[in-house]
Amino acid sequence: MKIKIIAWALIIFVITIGLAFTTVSQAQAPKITVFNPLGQPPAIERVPMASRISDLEGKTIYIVDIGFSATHQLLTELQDVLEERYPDTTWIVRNKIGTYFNDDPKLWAEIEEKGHGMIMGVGH
Amino acid sequence: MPNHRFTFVPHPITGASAEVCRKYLEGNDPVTGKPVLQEIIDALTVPLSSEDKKTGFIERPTPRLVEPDTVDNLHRLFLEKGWTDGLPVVLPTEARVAEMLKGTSHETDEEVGRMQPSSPHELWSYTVEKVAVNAVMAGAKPEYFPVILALASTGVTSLSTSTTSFATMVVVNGPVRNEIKMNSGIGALGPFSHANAVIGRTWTLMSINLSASGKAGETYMGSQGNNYNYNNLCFAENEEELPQGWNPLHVQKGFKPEESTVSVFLGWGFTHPDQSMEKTFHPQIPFWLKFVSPFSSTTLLLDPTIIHQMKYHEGIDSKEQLIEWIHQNTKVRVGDWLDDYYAVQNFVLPMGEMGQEPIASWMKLPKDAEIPQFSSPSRITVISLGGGTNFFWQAGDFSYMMSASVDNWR
Repeated sequence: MKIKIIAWALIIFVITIGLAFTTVSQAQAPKITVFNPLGQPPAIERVPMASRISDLEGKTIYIVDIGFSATHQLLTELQDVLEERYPDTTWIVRNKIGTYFNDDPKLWAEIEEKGHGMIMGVGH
Repeated sequence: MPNHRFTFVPHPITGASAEVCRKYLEGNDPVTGKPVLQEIIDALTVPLSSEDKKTGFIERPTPRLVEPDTVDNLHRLFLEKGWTDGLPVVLPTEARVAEMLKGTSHETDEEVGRMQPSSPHELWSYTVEKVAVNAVMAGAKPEYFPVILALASTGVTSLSTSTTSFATMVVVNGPVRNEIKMNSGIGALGPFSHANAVIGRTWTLMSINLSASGKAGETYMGSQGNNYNYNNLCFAENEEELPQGWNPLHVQKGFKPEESTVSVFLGWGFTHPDQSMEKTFHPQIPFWLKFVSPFSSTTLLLDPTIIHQMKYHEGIDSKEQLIEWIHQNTKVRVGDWLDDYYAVQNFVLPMGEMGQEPIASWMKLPKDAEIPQFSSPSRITVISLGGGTNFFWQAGDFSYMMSASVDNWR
């Protein structure tokens, strides 16, 4: 029994000393200076958002598909569900010209002239 | 921009049925947890806040140094911040970066280029010093630094984001290949050359840190990822084994033989054709290129044994002759071209609908007519690579993007 107690005491002593050494060595580990590897992001230009409509009653809202492949169904379904819930609003689905890398000034001009708002579907 | 009015629906959207789409729309935004339809209506009708109307610029300066800390803590910090490729890096101490900067005559604060994860993303800029920091992290030697700066000067990220999972490739030409002991022979694409491995790895670390590329789920959306991204197929062309008339890549691109260059490519992968050695080689190439989308380009990595076979036994006197032959003889049926390729439908046919030739004319052809699989010879690249141990080659869907001078960065 005595031998067992001494053995346990020795084990606890060794562990305690080990932990103490680890703590001391971590505390004493030298600090070094290194470079930040990140490049320089550009300043963000804050562009005010377009003004909002107060309600949807009698308004025309365009739903624009930018052409992300095989996703047109989502936007026609969006048109359907919005027509069901907001029947007094005109919901128009339009495809932007070209791929999703091409601009479509004619469509933007049409929306500005005839629309009150736009929802754009962007594949990601 | 936190104030922008985005609403997300779950992935994938591509090919989703009406039922699935309705479920998405009537469900919650997976990012905010709020109902999708309500978010859309709110985006249209909720008045702008004063924050929404603000103008001006938000500056985001990057500190030059990290707060001093122990080596272990800094390694942990770099990993946790996402500044690594997940593998251990060499910490960029002031002494190591100063040593790297000896590899170029350029000023430390000179802007090298600008990079972005893809064309709609913002362009980050970086100096010679920032490139040196990333080169140190990858384990580069100062003598590699002009090659790395040339690579950085292209502004091409190695982690181009797409729901596909892009890979990139960098081919080094000219005297610098041998000066820094790059491998173009046996095992050139394997882990057997420090220069090949480390220069390629630096490209990915630069892409992560100098352009914010590679933040999975944010600036990187490749569904499966691409293992090539670890060091980006970085190798030297085996110019020494090119026979007369077969010019190295950089000479094809207008550089002098004595100039050193990097050339960068974007694609997805390579495959190893199981080509018969009982037949002549080049007539078999069109069959093996069937796997490449007509949307893509192709790059062939030919072992010198194959090149010599073509030159001395098949009458192919130059890369250009081989490229023209491949262009003329590798075809796709119009019906397949119209119906079977996602990228053709996504990126090519809309251009034809806008009147772009020859796409517009091809769209009007009968479905059983044939058109070139690669729309022009410029979409085919041939590179000499390998140690000549046997008649093998690799074919990939890589597109040449651009070349840059290494000598300008010495």
